[in-house]
Amino acid sequence: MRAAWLWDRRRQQVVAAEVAPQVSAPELTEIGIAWQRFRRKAHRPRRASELAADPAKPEHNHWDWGRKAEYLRYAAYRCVGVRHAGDMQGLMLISLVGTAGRSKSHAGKPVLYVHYLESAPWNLKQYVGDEAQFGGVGFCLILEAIAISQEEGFRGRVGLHSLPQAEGFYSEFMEDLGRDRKVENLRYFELSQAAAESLMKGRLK
Amino acid sequence: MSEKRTMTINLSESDMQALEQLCAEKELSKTAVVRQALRLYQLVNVKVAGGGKLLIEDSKRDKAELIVV
Repeated sequence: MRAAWLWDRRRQQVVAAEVAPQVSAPELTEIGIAWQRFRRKAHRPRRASELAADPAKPEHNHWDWGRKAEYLRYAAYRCVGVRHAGDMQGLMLISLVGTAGRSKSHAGKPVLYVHYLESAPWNLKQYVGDEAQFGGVGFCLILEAIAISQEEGFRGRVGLHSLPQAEGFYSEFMEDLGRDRKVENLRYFELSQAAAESLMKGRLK
Repeated sequence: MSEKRTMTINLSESDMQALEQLCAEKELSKTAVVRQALRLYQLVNVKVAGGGKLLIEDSKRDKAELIVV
């Protein structure tokens, strides 16, 4: 298992974590149930009508990782996680069938596509406010996506469609290739080989 | 990741040509192309076995072609 690093917001320090390279379908189902339970509990004081209109509510609030376990029937998909303190702190579902790159720097060349990426709800301020535990989960998973892309021969290239709330995060290190009408009008981002190598150089050993 | 296993495969001249062409076009090793092909084939096979159909859309003609797998 590869090492990973997270930011412990409460203790204000970096903590060691580990990458779970292949989360199984039963484990994913179990995590999905636990996360949904946590989300519901976090929102319990609010009425459903308030919740629906709440702009701070994460756009992925409805994601059900248990249902995504269906993807794992296929060798084309893999679920990767980052674990710390015995809990899965984040999950990412990737496609191992390279999608055709869109950036001019590598048009048509295979890119590792990230279908879903989510930090555990107890790490998100939208659910727990200042009690949010670990930061850097998303970046840690993106670094793992780059590592897998390199192992698969895709040279670190990574692509994904971002939900609006995450656009700011991805635009910091990925190329914004604009809105994609075919995928819910979401913005599509890609990481080139050069950008991937640059990010990996900064990865803590 | 699970441990990798090594195997030898025999290909005809035309199959090898197709493989080498894909390797050059995609800038992938032969192993990587074979992995890609296998994953795609398994996905299509399971979908088709479940009653699905594989259609390739022609964006210029706005027409879909049924691929028999």
